[in-house]
Amino acid sequence: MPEKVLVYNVKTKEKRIEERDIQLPKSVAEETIVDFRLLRKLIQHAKSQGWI
Amino acid sequence: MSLYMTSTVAIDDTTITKNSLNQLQVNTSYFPYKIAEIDISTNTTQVDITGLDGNSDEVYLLILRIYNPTGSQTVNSIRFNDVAINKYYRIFIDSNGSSVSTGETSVSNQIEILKADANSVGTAVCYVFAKSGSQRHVLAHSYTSSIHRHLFGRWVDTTSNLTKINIVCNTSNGIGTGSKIWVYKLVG
Repeated sequence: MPEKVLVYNVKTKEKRIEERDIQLPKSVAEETIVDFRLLRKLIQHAKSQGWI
Repeated sequence: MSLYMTSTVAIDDTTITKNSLNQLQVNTSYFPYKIAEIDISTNTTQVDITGLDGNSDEVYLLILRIYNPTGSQTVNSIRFNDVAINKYYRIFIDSNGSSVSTGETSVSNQIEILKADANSVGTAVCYVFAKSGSQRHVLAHSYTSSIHRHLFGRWVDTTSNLTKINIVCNTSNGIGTGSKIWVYKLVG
């Protein structure tokens, strides 16, 4: 589906709206999130087990 | 007042010339030099900033105030030259005031610089190191009420001249009326 795109040219100062197909970014849910508290617990556990 | 110019006018570290479009062009060492102030007057999904010359300007500073008119949090990303394939890397630290999280993506289609909560504003300061010859780096600090983000990203292209910056939202018409983007060049 075409999306609204505002195009601004810094040289000519022209501003216009285009409608065209663009690739939308992935949703936030697909990002890799690491909780530092969980990471710290994992490291502590690994140390207690002598793995690291 | 009318001004007729046949040659370059120099005042201290600043010169004024007539460019190829027959406009007066100010070249100054008093940087940052504002090259765009873009008011968004209709809800849009993407803003393209065109007419750039990264090899000449070297470093851009973007200040973004993005109003999210939708009912869900949005993520606003930066791309260059309309490249929307796996040519980006980014790593970030997010804080919500009580906990901290981090994320890294080595192959991405964009660099996520700014989140905006539902029906709220997100603000960001974003530096783009635009000169070719090495990967182009991005440093951004952004805020919306639920999150504060520090981000480093890069565009892995080393040769193309950066002539266009795309600010793209992950939601249709997620860059709302009342949003504003200021663009400065820092070297030139």
